[in-house]
Amino acid sequence: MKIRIPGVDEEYIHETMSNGLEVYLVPNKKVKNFYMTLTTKFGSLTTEFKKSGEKSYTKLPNGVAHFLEHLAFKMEDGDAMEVLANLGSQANAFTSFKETCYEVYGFNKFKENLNYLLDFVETPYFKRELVEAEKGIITEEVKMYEDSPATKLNFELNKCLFHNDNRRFLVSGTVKDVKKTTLKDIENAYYTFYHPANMFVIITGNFNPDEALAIIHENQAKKDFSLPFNIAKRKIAEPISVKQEYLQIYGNVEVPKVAIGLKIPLKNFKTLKLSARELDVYVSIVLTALYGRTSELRDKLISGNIITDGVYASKYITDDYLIVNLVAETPYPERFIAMMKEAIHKPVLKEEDVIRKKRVAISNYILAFDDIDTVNSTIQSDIINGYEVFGDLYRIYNDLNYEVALKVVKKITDKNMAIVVLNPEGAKEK
Amino acid sequence: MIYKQHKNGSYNIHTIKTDRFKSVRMEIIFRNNIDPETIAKRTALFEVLLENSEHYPRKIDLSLKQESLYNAYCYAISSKVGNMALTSVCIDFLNPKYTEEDYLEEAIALPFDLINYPKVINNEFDEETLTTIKTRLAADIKSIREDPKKLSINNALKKMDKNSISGVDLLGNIQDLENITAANLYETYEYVMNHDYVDIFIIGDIDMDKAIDYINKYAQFKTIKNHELTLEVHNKSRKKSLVINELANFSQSQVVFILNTGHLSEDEKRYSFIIYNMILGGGSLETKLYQNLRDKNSLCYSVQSLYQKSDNLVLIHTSVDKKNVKKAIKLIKETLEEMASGHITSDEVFRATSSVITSINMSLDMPSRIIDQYLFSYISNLEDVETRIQKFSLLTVDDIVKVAKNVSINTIYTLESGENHED
Repeated sequence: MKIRIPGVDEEYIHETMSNGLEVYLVPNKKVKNFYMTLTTKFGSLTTEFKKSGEKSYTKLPNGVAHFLEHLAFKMEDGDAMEVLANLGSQANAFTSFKETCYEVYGFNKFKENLNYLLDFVETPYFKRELVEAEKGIITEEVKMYEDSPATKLNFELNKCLFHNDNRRFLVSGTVKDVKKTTLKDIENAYYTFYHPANMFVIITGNFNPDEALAIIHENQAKKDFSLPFNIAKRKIAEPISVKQEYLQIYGNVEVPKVAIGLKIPLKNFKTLKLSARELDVYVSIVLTALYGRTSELRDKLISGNIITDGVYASKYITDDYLIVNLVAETPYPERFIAMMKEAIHKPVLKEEDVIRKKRVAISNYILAFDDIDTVNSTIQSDIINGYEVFGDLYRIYNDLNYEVALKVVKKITDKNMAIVVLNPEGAKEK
Repeated sequence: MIYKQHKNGSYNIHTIKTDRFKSVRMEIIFRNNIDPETIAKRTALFEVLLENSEHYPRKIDLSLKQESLYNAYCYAISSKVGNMALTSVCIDFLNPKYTEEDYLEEAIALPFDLINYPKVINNEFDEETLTTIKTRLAADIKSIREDPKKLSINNALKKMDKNSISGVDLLGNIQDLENITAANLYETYEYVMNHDYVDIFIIGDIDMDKAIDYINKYAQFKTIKNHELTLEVHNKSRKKSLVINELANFSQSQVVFILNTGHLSEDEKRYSFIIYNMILGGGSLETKLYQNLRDKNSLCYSVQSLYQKSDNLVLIHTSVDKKNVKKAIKLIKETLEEMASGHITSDEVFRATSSVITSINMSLDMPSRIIDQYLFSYISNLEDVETRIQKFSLLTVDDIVKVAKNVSINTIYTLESGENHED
C-alpha cells in the first residue's frame, strides 16, 4: 500500500507479511545508499511477560535484550558481521528501553544484504559456551558506561524519579545482571520477542521497492514460524511521587553537572483533549521555547556564567507519566537549581516564540527527508511510540496554537521533581 | 553534481550544484599552518565570532535571526589535519524554494556579518563575550579528563614527543586560555583575516550565479596569500619503543599504542595503508584486533585503530580490566607481527576494500562530506571518487603486506585504573 507523506513530495509503502512481519519502504533515488533495519519491539524495560496460553509470567534478569543483541550475530558458521562485511556493507545493532534494532548500510548487493539481515536475526544459534564467552565482553561494555558522567547522571536521576519502573536500570544491566544471565533466559526472550509478528523492517534510500517486497516475501515464505501469539508484559505500577527528591553524587567530572527531572501524570493533560502525538509535539515545542537557544533564561544563565553551554531539555512519555529532564553543566549547582525552579514556577512563553518554533519544526520536518538515517529512525520511533507512521504530524505542526501551548506549559510543574548533582570526586574530600 | 571553482585572488569560491538535498550548505574555510603558541587563541577567536556581532549583540539575537530564516544554523568547526589548522564557518538552511520567502541572500550574508562585524570597541573584543567563551572553553578543556579514551590518547601523543604538532590540542590548556585578553584576541583576528587562506564552498539546488554574486558582495577578504602551507608531520620513529604507565581513577584501564607508518609513497599512504588499517582495527567487528582481543579472549568491548595519514601515525586504543592490561598489550603486539609477517588473506583485503568503498559512497549522501572531498582534492590533490574506488579495488595482499612491514611501535601508553575484576 502506497501512502503519501504530507508536506513533502514523498511517499512510503507499507505491507504486512502473512507471518505478521510489518514492512515500511521509503525509496529515494537521489541518494547512493540504502539503509535497512530489522527491529523487535523488545527492549530493556520488559523483564516479565507471558505468551497467550501461559499461566505464569517468565522473569528475566535486567539486560537480557542487550545480551541477546550481542548473541544474535553468532552463527553456526561464524560471525554475521563478517558475512555482511563480505557483502560490502556496514552492520551494527543497538538496544534501547523499548526496542532492539539490527541495521545494515550499503550501496550494492541489495538482495543479498536484505536476505542476510533477515536470515541472521531469524536464525537462533545460542550455545552455553557462547553465552559465557560474551559475558566478559559485555562486562567491559558496562564498565565503559560507568565511566561516562552523562550515563551516570541520567541513570541516577531515573533511580530518583521512579520507585518501580524499569528505567531505573541500565539498558545493559549491571555486571551482576550480566553474570547471572543464562542460556535459558536468552532462549526465553528470543522465542517470545523475535517472532516476525513482533518485528518490523524499514528500508530507506536507493532501492527498488517492488524488488524489496519480493525478496522479503520469498525469504519469509521459506521459514516456519509458529502462529502469531499475544505477549502480555507485566504492568508495573508506578506511584506519582518521586522516589528521592535530591541526591548528591560524586564522580569523574571536573565541572559539576545537574539533572532535574519532572514527573507529570498524563491524566493532568486529559482536559486538553490532545492526542498522544499532539501532546508530544506541544511539549517539545514548549521545552525548546522555554530552555532552547532563543530563550531569555538561557541567555541569563550563560551571560551570568552560571552554566557553560546551555540547558539540555528532553522529554519522554511512559505509560502514565510525562517525564521532562533538564540537564546542564554548572560551576554553581545551587544557583542554577534556584533559577531553574523559579523558571519552572513562572514560565514565560510568548506568542511569537510559538510562531517561530512552528516554522522551525516545519523546516526540520522537511529537511529530515534529506537523510535516509533520519527517515528510518523517525518511522521506528513512530512505531515504537504507537503513532501512525508520519500520520498527522505535518498537520499538527501547521495547527500549532499559542493558547494550547500556554495550557500545556501550565501543566508542566515541579510538584514531583527529582534533582541529582554530580560533583567532582575532589569535592567529597572538601 | 556540477562542481565549479572561481578564483578571486584573496579567496576562492567553489560551487557544487546538486538537486540531491533539500538543504543548502555554505562553508567559509580558513586554513593555515598550526602555531602551538597561538592555537588556543585561534580556537577561541572563532568561538567569539560565532557568539554575537555588532548587529546581533547577544547570542539570543543571533539565534532569533537564525530561526527567522527557517532555522538556518550557523556554527564553526575547528579541526587539525597534520600540520594544518582548519576552521569552517558553516551555515545550513532549508532551500528557500520549499518556502514562500526568498531569503537566500540573507542566509548567505549572515556568516559574513559575524566575521566582518564582530562586537569590538577600540580594537578590543567585548569583555563579557570573551568571559563567556573562556568559561565554556575551560569546561571543554577540563572535560577531557572525564573521557578516559580521549585523555589516554592525548597523554600518549604528548609522551611520544612533547614537541610534535601531532600532540597539539586545538583547545590549548588552561594557562593558554587565561593568557587570552580582549586586546590580544583582536590582534589574532586581524592576523587570521589577513594571513589565512580562505575557500568558500556552497552546495545545493540553487542559482549558483546569484550565490556567487551574494558571496562577492559580502566577503571582505582583501589580502592575497602566497606563503607555503604544509600538511604533513614527520614524527620520528624509535629503535626501542617508549613504554609509559600512569594511574587514573576510572573503572577500566586504557591501553594506547602509537605506531609509525614508516616511509610510504603517496599512493601507499592513500590506498594500501588505509586498507592495512582497516584490517588491523579500523574496520567494524571483523578486524584482526577485534578478533584477537574481543572474540577469542573476551578482553574488551571495543578496540580500534585510527590512521592519522597526515601525521604518519596509527593510534590503537582499547579499554580493559586492570588485570588484563599485560595480556592486551601482548595480543596487540602479536597482531602487529601477524600482519608484518604476511598473515593477511585475500578475503580480509576484499572485506576491508568493500568497507572503504561503502564509506566513500555513504559520504556522497552528506553535503559536508561532499565539500570535504572537493576541499581535499583542491588542497592535497585527493583523487576523484571514481579513481579512488578503482585504485582501492586493485589492491592485493602483497600491497598490504609491503606497507605492514614498515610499521614500528613508537609508544605503548597505559592509563591504569579500576579494581581487579575477578570472575
